Amino acid sequence: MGRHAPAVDRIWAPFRLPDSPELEGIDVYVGDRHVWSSPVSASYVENGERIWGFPIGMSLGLRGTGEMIVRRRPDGAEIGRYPVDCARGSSDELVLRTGRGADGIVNKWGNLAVPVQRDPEMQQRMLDHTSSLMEALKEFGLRPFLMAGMLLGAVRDGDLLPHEEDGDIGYVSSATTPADMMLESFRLERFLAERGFESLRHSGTHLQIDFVREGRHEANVDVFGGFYLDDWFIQPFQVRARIPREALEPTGRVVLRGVEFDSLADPEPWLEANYVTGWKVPDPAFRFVTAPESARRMLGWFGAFNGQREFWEIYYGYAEAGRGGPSAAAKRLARNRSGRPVIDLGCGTGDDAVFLAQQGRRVIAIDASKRATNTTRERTEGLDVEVIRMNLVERRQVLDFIVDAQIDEADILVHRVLESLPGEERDNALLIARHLAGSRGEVHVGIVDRPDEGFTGADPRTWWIERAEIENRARGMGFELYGWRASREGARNIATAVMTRRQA
Amino acid sequence: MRALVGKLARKLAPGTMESLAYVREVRQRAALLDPADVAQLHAELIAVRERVERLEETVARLEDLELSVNEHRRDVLRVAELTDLVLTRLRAVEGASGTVDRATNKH
Repeated sequence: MGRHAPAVDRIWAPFRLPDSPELEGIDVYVGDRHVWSSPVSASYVENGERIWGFPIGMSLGLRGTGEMIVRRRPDGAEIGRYPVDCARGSSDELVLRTGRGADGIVNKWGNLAVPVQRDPEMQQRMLDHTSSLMEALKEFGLRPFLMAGMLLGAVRDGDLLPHEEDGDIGYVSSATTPADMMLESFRLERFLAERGFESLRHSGTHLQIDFVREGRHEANVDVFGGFYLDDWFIQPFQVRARIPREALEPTGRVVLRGVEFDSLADPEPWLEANYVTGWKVPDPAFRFVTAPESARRMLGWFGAFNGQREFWEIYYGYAEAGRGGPSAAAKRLARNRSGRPVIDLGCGTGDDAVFLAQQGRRVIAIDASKRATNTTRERTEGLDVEVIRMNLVERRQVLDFIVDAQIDEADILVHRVLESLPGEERDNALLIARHLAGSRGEVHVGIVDRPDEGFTGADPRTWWIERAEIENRARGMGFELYGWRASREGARNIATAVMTRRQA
Repeated sequence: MRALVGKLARKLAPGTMESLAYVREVRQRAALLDPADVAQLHAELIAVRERVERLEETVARLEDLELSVNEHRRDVLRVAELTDLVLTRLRAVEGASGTVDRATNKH
């Protein structure tokens, strides 16, 4: 099957179903395949109807024409049919597929995923990867234990959960402050990198280790560090509870599909803290709801570096490179004939990098997405383009880049990036500009500056940002911003402007 | 004549007559009140208003305190990131130039 272009600007109607007190949630099927479950707590009521927003994973992965069947939880009665037409000229039957053509499901985050349950070989390899990672953590000096879905599956019936997508390992750090906890996690990241593990950081204490086989992503295992602050055990993103220390001693053993793993001395308090009540009864529609007082602490101390990265990674599995040509901001930048190198922040699949390199510029193209940077690398072969995978949400990576960059004076391109970065992290892009634009470099900004009809919180392509915020941030970083110009890119209203260093 | 004026007034400003009657009733009731009770009630009212104002100030302070705590938590993250960066870079420099004798601070 060839590449499938996602319905980039399509507005998907939400699921609207008759409300009733018996309704506990919905199960959605494509053909006879169960692809998504969602509890009533993820919906709202309007005019007697219960409404679920359309998950972004579905809008990216559906193709063909047909109907999705919606069944009521808990009794499985059919309560609605949802017609889908995204064939765009084809009469293929309706399917939910990943960019690589695998049958997908929508996970608890609303994203497209492939559960390992369908592939016994893959299941075995995921268990092997989990074991090898646990050994590496021990070598580093930690005492890891199996946690989250894997622990739950092992404790319940010694098997993986039906929709398990990844492995989960935890450890109790000896750190007694959030800062020390993070410093240990940063050291662990380097230690694992030296041993050939490819990792992705989600927060100051949460690492995702990706396992790649023959160039293809095979599985990932998450590593969550936790620590005691007085009597409270804190382990982002969910656990903050008074768990007795002896319960978290990793002296227990659990068996998962015949493979033995280190586990907690008493897993029950941890499972209760992570899944609250009812963890003993399987619930495919389970969603994490972190207590606000816990979320405030964890987010403040350890940050959240995802910044829609997962969405973009899935999106670039489908996106066709070169569909739109260069952006308005890139064309505007190309008019200055300075010959300065260009730092393209959020390069995507490289449309602007290709264009600017063809104009004779040296380009440093940066994006957080692995697929985007791989595509850009392929497309810019033979051109003066250096492609760097870097997460603008993570200040440590940004500072590292600034220190390492051998650039005195560059033009910076930041087109349709700032609106999808979390508030404070928008300054990270401008920090690069402040340090690397020199005294004469230009910063070319392109933003979606007003809401479009298709706005949805789940889809960062539809997000917007006000011009005034960019102006304020620019001033705060010592830049003057001028010359707003309006244009259109597909269905989006784009505004571009230029920033230069404010003269003393 | 009086009935005619009343009818006209009801037509031009419905409710006016009822309002006037209500004012008259309130005045009659006020005349029955003890001035000392009125003064005490007034004093209590002022005290309540002051308490509400203090409460509003406290709520505003608490909201600001919550923001400040969150700012400090974010600072923890920034400090850890910077510490890691500085230590890693320093270690790399030390590694390149040999070991350091901590006692004498000499290479």
